[in-house]
Amino acid sequence: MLFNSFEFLFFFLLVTILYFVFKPKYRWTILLVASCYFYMSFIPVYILILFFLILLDFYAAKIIEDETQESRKKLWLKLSLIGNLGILAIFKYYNFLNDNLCVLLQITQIKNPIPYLNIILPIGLSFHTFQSMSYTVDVYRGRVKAERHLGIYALFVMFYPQLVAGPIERATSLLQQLKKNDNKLNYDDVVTGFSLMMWGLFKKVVVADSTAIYVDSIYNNAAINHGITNIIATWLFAFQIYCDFSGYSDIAIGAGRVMGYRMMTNFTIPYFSKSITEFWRRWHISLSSWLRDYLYIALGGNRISKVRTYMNLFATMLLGGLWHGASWNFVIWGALNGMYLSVEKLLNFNFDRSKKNILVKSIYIFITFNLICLTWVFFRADTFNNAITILKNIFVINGFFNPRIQDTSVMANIIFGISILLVFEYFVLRKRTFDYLHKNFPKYLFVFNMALIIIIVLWGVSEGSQFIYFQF
Amino acid sequence: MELKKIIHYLLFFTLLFIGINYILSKGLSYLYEHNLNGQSGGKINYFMNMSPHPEVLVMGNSRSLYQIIPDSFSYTSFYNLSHAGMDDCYQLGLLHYIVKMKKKPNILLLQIDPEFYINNTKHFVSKDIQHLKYYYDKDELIQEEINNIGMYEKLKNAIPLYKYNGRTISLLKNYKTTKTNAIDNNRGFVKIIPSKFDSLNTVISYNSRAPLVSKKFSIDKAKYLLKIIEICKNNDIRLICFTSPHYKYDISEYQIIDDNLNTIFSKHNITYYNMDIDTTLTNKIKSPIYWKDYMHVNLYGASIVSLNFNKKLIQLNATDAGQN
Repeated sequence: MLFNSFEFLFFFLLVTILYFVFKPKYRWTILLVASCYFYMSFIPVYILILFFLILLDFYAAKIIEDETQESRKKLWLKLSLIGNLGILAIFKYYNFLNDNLCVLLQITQIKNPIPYLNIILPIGLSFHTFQSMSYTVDVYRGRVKAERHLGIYALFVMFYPQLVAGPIERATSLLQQLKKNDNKLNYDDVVTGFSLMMWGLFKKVVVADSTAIYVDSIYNNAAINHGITNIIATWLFAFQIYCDFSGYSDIAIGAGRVMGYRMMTNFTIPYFSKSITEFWRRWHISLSSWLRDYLYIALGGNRISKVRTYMNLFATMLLGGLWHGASWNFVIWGALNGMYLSVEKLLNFNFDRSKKNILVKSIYIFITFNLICLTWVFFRADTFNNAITILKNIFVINGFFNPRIQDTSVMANIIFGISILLVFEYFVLRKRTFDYLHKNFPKYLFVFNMALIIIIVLWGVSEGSQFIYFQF
Repeated sequence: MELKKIIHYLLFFTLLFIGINYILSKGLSYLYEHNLNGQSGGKINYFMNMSPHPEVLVMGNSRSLYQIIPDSFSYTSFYNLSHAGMDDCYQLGLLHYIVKMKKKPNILLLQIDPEFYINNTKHFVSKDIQHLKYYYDKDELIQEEINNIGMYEKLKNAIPLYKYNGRTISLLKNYKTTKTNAIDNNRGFVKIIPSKFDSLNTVISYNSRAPLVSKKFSIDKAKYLLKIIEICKNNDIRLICFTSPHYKYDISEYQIIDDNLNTIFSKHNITYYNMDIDTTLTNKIKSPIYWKDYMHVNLYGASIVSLNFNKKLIQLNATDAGQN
């Protein structure tokens, strides 16, 4: 059930109505049943994996809290982590590791005896395992109390708006809200949530899905495209993935907000960043903060030697790349980002905010954007060879300035969508939230929402693609 | 109190949306009906407004749009109503509408692609028919085929503005072209201007083409062709099917498809001209300088293809009988 579908619209309306019609004590049940239904609309049998992990982490956390012996606490924490990472490893990385083993064994001319698994990745696996692991670690660290109600804990893991593609929530925030369960129907929450959902839907169906048409036509024919065509396609992919993912996040956050739940912001206009460090404070914030809190700091963070700090940074981003997918392309993507961050740290680069000169800011933004776009080539290309072909062909001088437009009407729609996106994000959202807009400019927000829905009807791609991050 | 405010907000929003929808759709409908240019309905309008309407019509995708030059044919009254990227279902819907509006041609030259009939899905439903959604309320076959796409198509098409989904900017641009009398009068044909990269693109695109996933024939996909044949029979339209040439063609890859198509055509007495097996033609255009990519000839190649096709049609008219 995709967010940009009529099924989801009816599902969301029904669940929200039932949520407020029923007494608060029944709400967790309604949401849990709805979340189960939502998850099972993809591959029903995989809910058993989710139930297994929920039970494992629920009981592990209880035991960790109740235990007095440190060694037993650690043991149960390890069991929880192994359970989650084990499931992730089997479903996501087994065939990838097997492929690499095959290549290594070929050198020694030994046949690989390990069979391949013919399995589909459970949707949202990478997200809910990380969310669950953060819970057990937080319980172990004493940051949050173990949840004693299995249903509430299950709902924390399975809360349908953020179940399949985040934001990766923390128990200190979402779990506490779900426990309280006393949200009253609130006009401000409904309007703000609705506005967020509209904005997210615009980003997905108007910008991301139309951009995908052009990007796919170029990246899927890497051999014949070159010069500025490849640069344009990569820039457009940057917008595609941003709008696809942040659009999903906005719809998820908006859907939760309508019911009164506050989820974490996942993106804050990242392409206006003036350094890679700043970019990673603005992009997929729930993942980057997770990696910082549970991996980077656990490895020692920046409290050790400088060399170890850079290595930790590099390793964290490398694993972050691997989290996205079982492919060397994602590893390279992560490694490049790790390298950028390490170099910035080494050079002690910090954009001086007192530099108000718009030209200087623009140059930094442009450079940062293009450095990120270089990593996106590996993210988008199907294979490593394709990525290299795309990059190599950029430097084909003959016909460099001869862009392949394909369909002028599609390109016009793309430019239209991206223009609205950039104007609204830069001039409005850069310093304001939807809460602020609703409180201070309610009529303008109403008109803006009306304009968005008209634009979605006229420009939205109706048979669009699945959200990119669903595959992670 | 909160509930009341929310209901007021949603009600006002919905009513305003309905109102704006109605006004905007009237405006866009005016533009659509007066547009005579481009794939966003202008070409169809241009054809519909022709008086007298053409005796001979070419329909198909880009492999007839860019390759069949009306001026190269002996017929005085000839129009190329091809639309790039559109499959058989689109052609079926368009033909049905044309016949309904009493604009049927005497001869229909229909471009078909053997690749389309490859069986690579369990159940095929055409999405290209959506490009005719402007006619959703005007033609029952178009409505039926669009509804086949999914259970929410009726809901989407109930919104008047949805008819213009994906084509608003092109509609505005093409309307402006119409108003400034800047329409190309090539009788529907669109030129691919040759460029110095054509040869290289052709060879690279041919070498990097995806392998066939299947060589089986899809009866599911052939249903649109069968419906086109039926419409032509019922309305006294002489149907001649053809396949434009490819840069290189390995008949063995498509043998099963070809055999099945020939069976259909034989059964219904339909003339089928597969240019890929006409060595007289393919020898003339075997150099990559005639090609844009491995599926489309450029303007040089289109001249040769069209002249050759004209000769073939003259032969067919001379031998008559509608046989292959």
